[in-house]
Amino acid sequence: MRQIPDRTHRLRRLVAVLGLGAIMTVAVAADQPVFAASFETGWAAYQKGDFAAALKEWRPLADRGDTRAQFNLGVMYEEGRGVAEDRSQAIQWWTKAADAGDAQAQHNLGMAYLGGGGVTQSYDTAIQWLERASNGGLARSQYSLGKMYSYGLGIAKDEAAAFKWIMKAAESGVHQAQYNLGKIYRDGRGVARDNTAAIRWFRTAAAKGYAKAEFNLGNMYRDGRGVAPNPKASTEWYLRAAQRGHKQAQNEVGLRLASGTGTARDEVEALKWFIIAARGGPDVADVNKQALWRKVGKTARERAEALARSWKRTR
Amino acid sequence: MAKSFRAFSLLFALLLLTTAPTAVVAAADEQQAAQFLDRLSSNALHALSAPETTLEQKESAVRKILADNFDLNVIGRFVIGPAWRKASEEQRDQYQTLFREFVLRTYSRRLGGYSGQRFVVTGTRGIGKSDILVTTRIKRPSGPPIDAGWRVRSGANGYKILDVVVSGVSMVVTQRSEFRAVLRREGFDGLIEVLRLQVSKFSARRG
Repeated sequence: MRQIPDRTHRLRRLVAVLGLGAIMTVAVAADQPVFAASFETGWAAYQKGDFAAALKEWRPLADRGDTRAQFNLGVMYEEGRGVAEDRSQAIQWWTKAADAGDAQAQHNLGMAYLGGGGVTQSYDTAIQWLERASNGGLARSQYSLGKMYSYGLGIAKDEAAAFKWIMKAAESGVHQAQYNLGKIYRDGRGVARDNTAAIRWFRTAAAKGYAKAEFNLGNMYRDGRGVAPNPKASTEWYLRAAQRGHKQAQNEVGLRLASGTGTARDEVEALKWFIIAARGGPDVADVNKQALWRKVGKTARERAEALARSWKRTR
Repeated sequence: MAKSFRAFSLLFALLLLTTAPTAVVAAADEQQAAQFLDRLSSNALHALSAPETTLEQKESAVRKILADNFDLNVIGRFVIGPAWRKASEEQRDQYQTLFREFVLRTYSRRLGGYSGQRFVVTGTRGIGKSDILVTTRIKRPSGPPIDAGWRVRSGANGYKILDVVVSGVSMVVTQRSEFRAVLRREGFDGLIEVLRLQVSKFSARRG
């Protein structure tokens, strides 16, 4: 038999809730100017590096439940600003803010539990906090969660879940997520392979100067995946990534300049790029450098070395 | 694996032992190392006390000073321990890039807020085979002074910092034990993923 709801009881609860709400509204309204003023005073002090003053403003706010102040206090304890570094205090403040629904606090807590800083490492707790922040729409958490599913970090590997979260983060404009989504479409992981979509997401990330996306566009144009093969466009994308310090792209540009593929042949420029690419240590670029070094004359070597010295990466 | 771990532990123990004042470092070198820290202090003071600079600008100035004066490649390798040898070229590359970002971000935030506080060199001594430990003291307007020790090594590009010891706690040893825990659980690729995620933490905010 269905139970008949106790109307009187429900009504009484409704009144209580409304009443409490009204009281709270009044209280918050009365407090608001004070809250805002001292939070701002704290922020100004923080910007000046006067952390003791910031702490003085924010601590009472944090004690009264202001989540911004609680979050910032957590940061100050973690980074040792105005207080001795104390990660367990950071965790306590972030937990207060996170419980009250602060998404950034939830994210930082997730990261703390992931790495085990100031807490006992726990993937389960890390994932719980990241899920809460992700469901609340925080893009960085969505991306982090996606990467954890994609790698299987403390959680069963799940490409469909990885795709879902990385897609959300990509749509919110996280460029690493856009680049990763490009790779997911290219490789067909957790979604049907789609080179056109891959190109589109690589382009979105590349438009913001994300070197790995530029490098991958170079590959797509080289191999004719999702686009007609185009050596010139490919070299141009590699060059952009190379200018931003992408080592593999620098090596590719060197090879293309040495052979005149998608660009005019130029051994001095080629040697320049091999020299730059080989700086990180001995690898394939170093082998290419040695080979070209032996081939060209002394003047070309000197010019390439001078060009490499004065080269500056673009940001 | 267990054997190489033991061998490494032994090596590490030896390393600690040799930090006793048995090192042979010339007094002239110690003086140079002290001067290096002194210059560093002046540079930092200059960058941090410039009027009308935002916290963000200060942090980026500190970041540059750190990048120029810390040997992050050597530190990055050390904190990994024996796992480094088995890592591929690509893994090492990815790791070093992320480690660099991780350290620069963490410490520029941690140090970027100080202003007008110069640290003074309080002493030097040999440490390890040929390194020098320079001890410094930073006076603070409130609270007790902070004593820090800087392990520096002389190389082709002048002196570089290899470790900072604050109240007896070494930055690299702390980092090392954290990373080793991750390496044990997740292996090298897992550590790379964790580092990649860790740099996404949020800092203080206005609203």
